[in-house]
Amino acid sequence: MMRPLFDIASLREEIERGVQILTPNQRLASKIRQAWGMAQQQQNQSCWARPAVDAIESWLDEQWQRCLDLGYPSAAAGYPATPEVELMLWERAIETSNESMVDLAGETAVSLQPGNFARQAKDAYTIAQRWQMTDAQLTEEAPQLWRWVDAFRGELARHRLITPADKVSIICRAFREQVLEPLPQIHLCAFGSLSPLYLNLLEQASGTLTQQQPVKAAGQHACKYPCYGEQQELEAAVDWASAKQQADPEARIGIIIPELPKLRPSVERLLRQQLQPDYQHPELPRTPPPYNLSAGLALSETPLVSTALLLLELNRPQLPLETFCRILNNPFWTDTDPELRAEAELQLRKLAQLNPRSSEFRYRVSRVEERCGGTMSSRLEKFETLRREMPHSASYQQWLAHFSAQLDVLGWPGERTLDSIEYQQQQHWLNLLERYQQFDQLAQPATLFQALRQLQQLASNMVFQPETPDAAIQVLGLLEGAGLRFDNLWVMGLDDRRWPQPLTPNPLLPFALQRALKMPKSCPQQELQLAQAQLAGFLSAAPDVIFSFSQFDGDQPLQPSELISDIPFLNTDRLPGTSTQVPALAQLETVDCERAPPLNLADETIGGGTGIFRHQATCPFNAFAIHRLGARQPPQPNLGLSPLERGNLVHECLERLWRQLQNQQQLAALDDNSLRQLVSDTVRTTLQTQSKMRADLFGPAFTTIEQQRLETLLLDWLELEKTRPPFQVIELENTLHSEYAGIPLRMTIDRIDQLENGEQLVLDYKTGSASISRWLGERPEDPQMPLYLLTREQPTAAIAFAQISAGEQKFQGFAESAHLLPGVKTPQGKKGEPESWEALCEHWQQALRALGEEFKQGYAPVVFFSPTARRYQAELEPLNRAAELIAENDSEEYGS
Amino acid sequence: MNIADASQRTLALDPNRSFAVAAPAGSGKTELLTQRVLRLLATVDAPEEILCMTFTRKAAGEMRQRIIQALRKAARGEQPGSEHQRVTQELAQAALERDRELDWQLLHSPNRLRILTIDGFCLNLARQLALESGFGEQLEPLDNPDPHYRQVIGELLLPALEKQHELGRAVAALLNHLDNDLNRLEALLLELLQKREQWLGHMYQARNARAYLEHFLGATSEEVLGKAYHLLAPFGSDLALLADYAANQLPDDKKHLAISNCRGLAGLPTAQAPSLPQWLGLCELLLTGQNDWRARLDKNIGFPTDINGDKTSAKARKEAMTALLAALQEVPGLRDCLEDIRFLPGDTYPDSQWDVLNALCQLLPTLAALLSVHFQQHRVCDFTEITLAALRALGNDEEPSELALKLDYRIRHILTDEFQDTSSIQFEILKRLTAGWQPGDGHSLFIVGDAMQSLYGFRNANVGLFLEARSMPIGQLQLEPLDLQVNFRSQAGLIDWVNQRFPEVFPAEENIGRGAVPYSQASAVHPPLPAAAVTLDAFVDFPDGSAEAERVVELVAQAKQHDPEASIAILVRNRTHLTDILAALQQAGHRWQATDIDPLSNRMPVIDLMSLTRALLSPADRIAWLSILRAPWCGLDLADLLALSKSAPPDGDDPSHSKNRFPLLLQRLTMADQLPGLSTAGQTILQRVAPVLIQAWQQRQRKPLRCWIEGTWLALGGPQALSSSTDYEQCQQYLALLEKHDSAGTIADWPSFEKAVQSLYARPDQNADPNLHVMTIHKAKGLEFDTVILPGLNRRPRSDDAQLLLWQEQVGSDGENRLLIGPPAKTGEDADDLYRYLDRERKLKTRLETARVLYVAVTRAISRLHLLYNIKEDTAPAANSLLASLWPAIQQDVEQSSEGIHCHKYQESTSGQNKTASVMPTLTNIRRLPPQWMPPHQPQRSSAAAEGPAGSSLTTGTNASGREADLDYSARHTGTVLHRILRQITLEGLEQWSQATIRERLPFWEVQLRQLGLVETAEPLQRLQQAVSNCLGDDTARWLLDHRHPRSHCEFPLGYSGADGTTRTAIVDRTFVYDDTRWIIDYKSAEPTEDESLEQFLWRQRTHYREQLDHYARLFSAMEELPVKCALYFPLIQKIDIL
Ligand code: SF4
Repeated sequence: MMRPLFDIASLREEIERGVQILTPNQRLASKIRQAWGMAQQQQNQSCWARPAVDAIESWLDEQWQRCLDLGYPSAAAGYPATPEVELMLWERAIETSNESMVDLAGETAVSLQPGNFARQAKDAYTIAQRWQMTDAQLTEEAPQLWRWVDAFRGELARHRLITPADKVSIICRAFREQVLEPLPQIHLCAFGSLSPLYLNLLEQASGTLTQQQPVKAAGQHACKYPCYGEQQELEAAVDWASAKQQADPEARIGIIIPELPKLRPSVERLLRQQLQPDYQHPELPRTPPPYNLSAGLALSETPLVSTALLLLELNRPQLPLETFCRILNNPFWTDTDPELRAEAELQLRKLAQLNPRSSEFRYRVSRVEERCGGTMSSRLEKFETLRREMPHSASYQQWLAHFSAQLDVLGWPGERTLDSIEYQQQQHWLNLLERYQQFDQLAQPATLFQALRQLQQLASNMVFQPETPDAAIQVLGLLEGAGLRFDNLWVMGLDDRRWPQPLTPNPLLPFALQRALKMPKSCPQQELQLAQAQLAGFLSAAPDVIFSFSQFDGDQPLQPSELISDIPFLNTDRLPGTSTQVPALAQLETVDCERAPPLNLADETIGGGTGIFRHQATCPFNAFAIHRLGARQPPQPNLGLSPLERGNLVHECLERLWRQLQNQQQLAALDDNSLRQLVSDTVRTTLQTQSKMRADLFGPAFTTIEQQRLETLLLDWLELEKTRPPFQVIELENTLHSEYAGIPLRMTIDRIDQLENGEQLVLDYKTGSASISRWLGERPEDPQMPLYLLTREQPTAAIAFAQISAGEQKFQGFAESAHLLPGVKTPQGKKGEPESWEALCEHWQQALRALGEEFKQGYAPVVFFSPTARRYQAELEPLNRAAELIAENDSEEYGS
Repeated sequence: MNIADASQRTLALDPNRSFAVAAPAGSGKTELLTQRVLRLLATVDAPEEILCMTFTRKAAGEMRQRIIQALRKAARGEQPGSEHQRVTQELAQAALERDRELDWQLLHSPNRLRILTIDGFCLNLARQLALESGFGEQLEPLDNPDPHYRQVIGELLLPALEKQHELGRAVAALLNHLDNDLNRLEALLLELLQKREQWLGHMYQARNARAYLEHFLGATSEEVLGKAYHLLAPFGSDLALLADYAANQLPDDKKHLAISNCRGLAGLPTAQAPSLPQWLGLCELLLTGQNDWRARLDKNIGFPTDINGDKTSAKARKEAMTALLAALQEVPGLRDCLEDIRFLPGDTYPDSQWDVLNALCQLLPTLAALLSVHFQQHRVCDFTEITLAALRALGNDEEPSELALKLDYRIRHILTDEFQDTSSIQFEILKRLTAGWQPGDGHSLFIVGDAMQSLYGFRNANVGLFLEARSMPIGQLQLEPLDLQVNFRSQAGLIDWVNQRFPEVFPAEENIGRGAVPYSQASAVHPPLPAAAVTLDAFVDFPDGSAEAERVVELVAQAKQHDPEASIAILVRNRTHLTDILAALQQAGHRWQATDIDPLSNRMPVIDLMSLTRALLSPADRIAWLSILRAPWCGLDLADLLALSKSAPPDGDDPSHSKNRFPLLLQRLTMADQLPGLSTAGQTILQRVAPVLIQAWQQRQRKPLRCWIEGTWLALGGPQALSSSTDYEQCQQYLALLEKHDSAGTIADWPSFEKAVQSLYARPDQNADPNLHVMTIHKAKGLEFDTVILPGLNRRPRSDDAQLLLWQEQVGSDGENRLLIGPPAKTGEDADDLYRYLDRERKLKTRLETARVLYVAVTRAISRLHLLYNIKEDTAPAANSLLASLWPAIQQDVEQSSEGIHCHKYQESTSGQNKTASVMPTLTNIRRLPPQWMPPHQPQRSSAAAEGPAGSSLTTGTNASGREADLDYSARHTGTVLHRILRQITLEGLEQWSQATIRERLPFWEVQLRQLGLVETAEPLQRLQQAVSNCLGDDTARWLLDHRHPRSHCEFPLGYSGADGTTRTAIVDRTFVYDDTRWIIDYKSAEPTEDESLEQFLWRQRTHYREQLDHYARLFSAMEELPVKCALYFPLIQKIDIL
């Protein structure tokens, strides 16, 4: 049995006399009651009257309810708004006082975001009320705030609401008027400071106000301990705590972490590692933590609730691609068949749209389902039907019904059995919904997006903490430990930046006034006193206290607070040093990976293509990975058209054009106007069909610009075509199935022209930059055109790129004879070229056969024959493990 | 010790005066700043009145530490060691006295010292002046704001375009200009948003943007022309005469030359932009196409050998011109100035360019405003936003008194360090902070900087501002320039070397616009050391950097031998320049301290962990899944990998037969035991690996992200499969980052995470030699080392990314802050004049910055400096390399092989290796845990953890949506209020209640109901009214609610021990003793449902609550020895049910 967290002997007398005891927070009140209960148990009482120990706020609530029970007239004016309703009212008040802010030189007004000031205004007004500023004072000293307050009070009155401070004032009056019966005595326990308003109230509530005096723990021993940085501080504290726990299972161990919300993930991890070393193993299910930690997670950050919010986002017409993918990989809705979901993700990613439309998403899912089966698509359709039925605006309660129905059709929270923590999250969600409906108190209908935003905001303001059994180790924030008694206590973060804490006065109240009234966080001396008092509190909270501090924050040096200068350093060898141990390394074995099994087409399909040769030429492993293992990555999404999409548009336009024109003669025969017309029509038809691929992009304006671009580009290009020797087009976008070196090929040749003498030219459009030097070499990096040449049955007299871009319009390539096409050349043995066209063809034959052979035989070492190719195939680095090669050499040369 | 600039240093402590101090390397400026702060403390009313701004957080921390230490020492009354310290000590004592007098308690509250980075200060300011800055809620500064920029851009562009209003036309214009490439436009706008502090102010100022911006063009031209005019003035009439002559003599085919513009010239053209054509004519006359002085005069430029047969006068003119040229060559700076003229952009924007610029002018302010709103909505911001907010908060021509009223403390003194790296927007903030300050009014401004050490041009730092601050007043405050020259760091030998060489490295003349400063001489305090202070190793014609690397290792060894405790630093410009050197150091057994040198994203163990993360987050990520099967914890060979993942030949009737489909690997792993073609080793491995992966995937989004990934990695044997403890350390760094990016158990923004991984660097090695440092020159700024080694002087910096839009902020010689913007050329067209001008200016600035980088590097050394480079015989150093800057200063040393110079020539035989035969680096194997490997320890399933993951099927059962839970808030809340009412009735006495009481209380009940969250209260109120009315007339109720019963309680809280020994509380609605029996009654506000009889209803309620009531009964029997009776009371139906 663990010892109680409160020294109950010090309160026994008060409790027995039935004195009302007040604490600053729930935690302390419940720990005192618990300690009392334990004391009773020890006296073998199985049952006892609950002592009058309450957190001040719950005590106030009860007094308020009493006023109402009694029918106290002042209480009928209204009731205290909940924090979120109050915030909403502040937002509205600020909005109506309609502030706009003037930016820089006063030209453009940046509207002030009410949402950003609501909280501060609320805080400022709370402080003003608690420090009993009068309206006159406010008007004079903080005119801006006053304007908001004025509007805010109007809103309050309209909805019969009051602020929590108003509530306190009313209770105060009730005591004064003897409506509420004053208490014989009130005993205050562990209050750091009290605002004038509260003090006033307490004085009215009882003639006898007494304070609990801190009792120094016996055998007091305190020391300070320096750590390198915050992480080391955490590690030390956690190691120490678990050692203490092992040494004495009854001990209560406290760790006080001033920045607990920020450090929570690390603390939790370290504690788990210490207390349940195996917990991380995937085989072990998640369990409630074996320690108590006072910080929680925003409800919106819990997987279950965040999923609900994420799914409701599907009500928007467009979402970022990553959001859709997150939805697809989320286990908390409908069934989780990974095959369907993975395929849907791939199909969606293939579109490479940055912000696909929700309709696109539904369409892709339904397409995949046609193949794989499943219910996802019909669920999404139902969701969409519900969306369409939504009113333009509605009450929050109605929205709630809509949202719940939508989540139901999507099968939230999924089919995986909920574990106990998920179950609790689900319960929290229900609480959230209840609180959500309170917005209707303001009787203001909301639009869909407002309703979603409020839901989101409410969820991020609510805190989720899994239920945990009482534990020996208590991890608390700075204020949460007040009044508790530990056996061992570690207080972190005692550097001189945080002790005393830097001031953070409220910016909406005048600073001088805040200092004068001693409002919180505004006066250096007060903060210093507060820090001193807090330290004294910690010192008396346990017989064994360690204060730790970091010496560095990043590269910034820190020093211990002067406040602990008298406390001796910890004798370091007393601290158990269980810092992270590196696991023993295993002896690794080497696996030969130079060769994969040879290709056997009876047993394995490969999508044929020239890519096989291209990849084999630059990196054999990558060729193997891409074509035999399927190691491909979908393209990066783009805001606009990708280069590939832009190219496709040009391809398609040209195909249509030449289908119509057939030959150069016809082209030349058209006068300017008719040519313009033809091009314009062609582009229009093309855009009509192609723009569906990017529904996110092609609005009328964008289409017009694209139309113009293509027209200009094509007209320019056709001018060049006019200057060529006469030709006719004999093949367009013809797909060819063949094979080379035993490797199946599926190729689409952009165009084949025939000259008057019957010679045929193979053309490939390039809308980016292109270079034919990559056709050459032992391992041709870009073997597509040579492969066309080698696999065609008819003789080919030239192969060439037709480069069509805004900057450059030209042909480049190789030909039997340079006269066939402007810009192409015959090989002449210069710069690594073979001597003649025939030699070139011969060379290609050999080189490509060799590459094909390599691939077929499964030759797959990781070696890069071209640094650029390595860069272009960087997405395969995790697979080919190229980082294990000697570090990539700079391509930069030595000297100059 | 007598210090040369002692008087300047004393002067600098005068609290009543403002100074701009030039403090070169090693001049002890931090000490000076410390002393001044201490001095000021003794004069102010609150320490907060002094604001001290530093460049980095580290510097702020150090400064604060120094001041506190000085105060502490003074408080302890320690004896000062040196003269220098004596001054500090005295100042500290005076400050302490003030502290005592005003009860500041500075030593206890060091936060009161406002020593901040400028960003930190701006953040404070923006928060304090929340209304003025628009910074309400705290906005979290982002490490990587790019996704937010892109989001704002994306949300603006297409919708605006399609709406076709003014903004839409702007977007259309830009798209037309950029070949309708939306992605390029996005990139352009992204770049502009990243640097918006540079143009935003201008955009707002420009009411008529074109006139505004063209004014800058004109001003720029006039400044250069004015300078030329000034330099040429003495030769004006001769030059004009000859130019006119030449113009007239130009042969017909040369009439297009600019010289012909000089026809009719009688004196120098005016220094106005419209005269630019004549000026260009003069330039052409004087300079060749390569911008060298003309050496040859011929008829092609208007100097024929005869004029219509008159050879004499032709000759005379020619000679006059030659003489003039000779004279002009002697005018310093003239040639450069003429060259500048040739690049001048003119004073107007051509219409085509203007259209683009105009579109940008329309788009950008909107974009910036949208970004602001976006940031506020998402409660985040970037640093620029903070600075802009601070600027906004400071307002325009703010009266200083008003500002002082608004801030928490009046700022009286400002000190800023590293002023040379200030940007113009930061300068603007300083201007506004000090607006209205006047000399002698109790305010002071103290800026410290060194124009020779400005390194942050790429971040928009502008040296020109420092130069400006030294020469022109800031508002009404003229700062007095002070120059420190004593170097407390380096030995005299080094200082002499730098003093001799650097005048040639730096430009001869100051130029504020470009931020050019000449070198200023330093004087040494430390005497010279024996032997050469500086050595230089030149490697000529070496094929790679290995020889240089060897030499570096040698130099390290030498230094160590000389003094093992002395610090050594190897400094380079980019970390990529270190590859060979680190390899050589490692081979020689050195371990060094490296900061931000070693990127973790290149480390295979980290990459493997990242693949694991990707794979578990998305089964569709095939590359990641394949990768984790090849990682050392699994290590399938190619055959096994193929067997697992190959695409099987299609069945005959598969409609999609033309496409090959690769099976989902996650799916394949579930049937790994039935797969044909796997080797035995492969099977063994998969038996171990597959269940771990499948289980992990099934349990996704449960444990925290890091725990989940790390746990899987551990279970796979990931740590055991590493090859060193360093690897483990680096994996931990990755995992820590993962923890930071956890959002509901997954990663919400993968691109940002990926970017964050790319900026992870290996942490300093804990076991490294504390005296051997490796870092970039930028990182070394402000540090010093006994020995500094600078290898790779020949290497070029990373090339700047091609900028789509060139712009430049220039400080004019008149202090005007000018913005010059050159829009990109239309896709497919050539760049224009302005773009060329800006491009040249940028290159010039880069060159100047290179010189400064070199200066910073060499001045880090205390005793020895070693320079190393590779070069090809007879070639000039690469442009923008450090060597190129240094070359003019050392060329002679090298040629004469002065002391300390070593020239190494490459000889084929020395290296022994034929360089053509170098083998391509090839990887033909991978490494893995042995197949039979088993984790050293199997996890212990605790018995409590029974709800475990299921088998290997990938889908599971169903869940309740949870909505059948109690959603009937109305009934629940009505019950709650009813309980309170019944209690109140009991307290007051039922006899006191009448229908009137009920009516009177109704509004209060309504408040209670509403407070519980009910919006519709009519019906519940009616029920309450009904229930209470019922009670009034009901005998049972009368009896039940009678407070005169002995030992009567309402809502009675009772503590008790739970089954597990914990303490619990129960609340009993109503209890009393009647007839020697303890009655325990629970109120229930339930009613029978429509299809339920009373009996059924009561039975249902009874069964539901019996246990609870029995429990209460037991509690009471433990306290008192009375028989107990329990009952349920249903006020709504007037029914008591005694159990
Ligand atoms: S430190 Fe002193 S002067 Fe400053 S606010 Fe506090 S009490 Fe007032």
